[in-house]
Amino acid sequence: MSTGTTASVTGSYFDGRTSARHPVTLSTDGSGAVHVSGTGVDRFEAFAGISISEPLGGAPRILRFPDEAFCEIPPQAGLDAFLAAANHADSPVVKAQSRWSWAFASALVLLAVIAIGYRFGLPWVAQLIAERIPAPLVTKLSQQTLEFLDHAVFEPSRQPAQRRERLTREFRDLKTPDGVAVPHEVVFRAAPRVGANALALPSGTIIVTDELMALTENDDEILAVLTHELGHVQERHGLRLLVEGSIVGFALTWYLGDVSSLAASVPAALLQARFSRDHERAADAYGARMLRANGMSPTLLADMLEKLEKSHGNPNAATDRNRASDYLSSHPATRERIEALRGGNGAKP
Amino acid sequence: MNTIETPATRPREHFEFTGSGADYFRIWIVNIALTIVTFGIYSAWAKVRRLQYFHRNTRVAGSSFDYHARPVSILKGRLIAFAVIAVYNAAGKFNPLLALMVAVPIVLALPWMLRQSLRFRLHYSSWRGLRFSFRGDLPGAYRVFLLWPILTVVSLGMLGPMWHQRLKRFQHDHSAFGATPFRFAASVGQFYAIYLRAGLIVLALAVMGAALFAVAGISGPLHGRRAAALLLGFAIFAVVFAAFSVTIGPYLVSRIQNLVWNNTTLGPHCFHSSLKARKLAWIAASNLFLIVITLGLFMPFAAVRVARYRVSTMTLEPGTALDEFVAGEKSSVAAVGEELGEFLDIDISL
Repeated sequence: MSTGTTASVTGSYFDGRTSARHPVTLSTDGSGAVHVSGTGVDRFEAFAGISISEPLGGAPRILRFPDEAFCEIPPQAGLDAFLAAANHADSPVVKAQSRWSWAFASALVLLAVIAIGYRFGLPWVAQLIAERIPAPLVTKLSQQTLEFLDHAVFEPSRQPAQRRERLTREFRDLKTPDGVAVPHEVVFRAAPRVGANALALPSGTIIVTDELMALTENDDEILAVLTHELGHVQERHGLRLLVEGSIVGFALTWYLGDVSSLAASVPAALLQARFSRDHERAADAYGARMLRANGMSPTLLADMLEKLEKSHGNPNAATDRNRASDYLSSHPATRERIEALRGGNGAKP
Repeated sequence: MNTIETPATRPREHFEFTGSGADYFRIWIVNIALTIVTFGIYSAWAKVRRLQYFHRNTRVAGSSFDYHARPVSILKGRLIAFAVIAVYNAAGKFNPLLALMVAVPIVLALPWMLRQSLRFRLHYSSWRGLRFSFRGDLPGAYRVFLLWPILTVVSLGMLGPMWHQRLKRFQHDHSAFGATPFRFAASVGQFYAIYLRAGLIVLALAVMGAALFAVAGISGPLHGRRAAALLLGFAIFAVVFAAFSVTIGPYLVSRIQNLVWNNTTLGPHCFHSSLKARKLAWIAASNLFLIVITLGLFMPFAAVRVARYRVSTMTLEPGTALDEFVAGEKSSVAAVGEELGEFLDIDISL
């Protein structure tokens, strides 16, 4: 008997066919096999054929034999020596799980990944995916959305056909900031229940409500809103928000799923509002560039935002999801947007 | 149950939970980190480890439970579930009508999935080396997971307790340990009695909530200010919601668990459950509070606290020696249903 290789522990043996529990002693002499002995049990088995379960708190370790039989070994003094004699080494994951330093490091990794992923990774992935959604699918889905909105909230436009045609024509003739044409279609609808609003569908359909047109006599201001919406189309904001929202919702449900899916939906809405605001800012910037490229002033858009804000003095539940979530913090954000548009144009009258 | 007259009864075997919050926290956080750095792939391994932790730390009659599912089959189930849910969410964002078209097949397939889920969970659970199993048939699943919910809605909830009894009967009457079947004897009337009492508690809470509202509305210095009134309304809603979740929730959970297990037998063996609503309410309320202020980090401790209490109130009353169970036939079950159920947040724990 050489020292350090002989070890024994006590446990229970089960044959896998009945629930009979056999108290046993497991011993090894370093020859690579274990001897299981107790009342009615006398078994030799090579460690090579045995799988040993990982430690899970106060749970017993399980030595599983090639045939359904196994031993349960409760935590005890000689267990480590026995496992060492069995040449058993825990996996790296198990080692990490047993140390506070690793738990702490994991928490830090978690925090870093969440912060970086949320701020940079998610928008990047969303853009990547949004660019790869096939155009026919986008068109089809946008058509269906428009049909649904027509059915549910919109009515045919009552604005003079002349004004609508002129707006469509003038907008078509505007240059985009980078000179690349963005396929689009402007449609007009009355929306008494939604109020003044404009929204862009991913396919490039831009919907302008009569109520928005009624806010101003100056059609240049409406053109300014259209440049903002074209920014949404050009940068695929609708699809990106869809992807971003899905991933955030999915991650939170997974993390908080044990508590309640209701609890997860509130932070999800708050987190999503941020992306929505980022998109609004990006669309504003695009609109401002486009206006300047055509010799117009970005303040047109700022003026229109101000009028829109006033007309929605009481936040109306808009059907446009982007806007609905934007309202969670719309007031400071809108002010900031107006100032950004006016400031960016400070030198010009 | 009130039938422990047999003079030479065997000693009651107490269920016990040997896990600790500190142990489970380390496992939980390391596995979450691994899940994130592997883009979710590791979550299947993490789930198996979590269930093994809770199974192996639950003991009765000197032996632990065990969980045997292979992570790979859970991963497959998760991928399928993820695809289905992604399609449903995407459809919902574009068009509610389209979402409906996707939702209808999901709802129709739900009973099949839930039955699959029950089979999977039990099939991969064991005690003393013998597997549990579930043999409920498909028509039965469609009755308890589709027909009865519809009847409950149509009857404005009046048939809810009866649905609950049918559901528990479906689960417990078709489960087996090895070759030995479970039997379930709780009556519809007993379910109604519990729900009736819960209804009275709801009524009392509603009256209190209304009174709170009235008082706040009349005497409030905020009178006339819309935003403040909205905030107040929200606060009252939150208080009422919290009150419900620490009263009715624990009340129903404890009474139903007691009723169900006190009327479930396994061959000659009986179970006894003595959960206390008040204790459960205290655990639920303090857990909720601690989870919120730790941004979720308390979750593993909370899970262990709940498990420890729930397990500690269960006892097994052996009718004969516990060594005499034998194995049933072996088969394998896919994880699709289990994973979809989990994604849809449908918990059908036994």
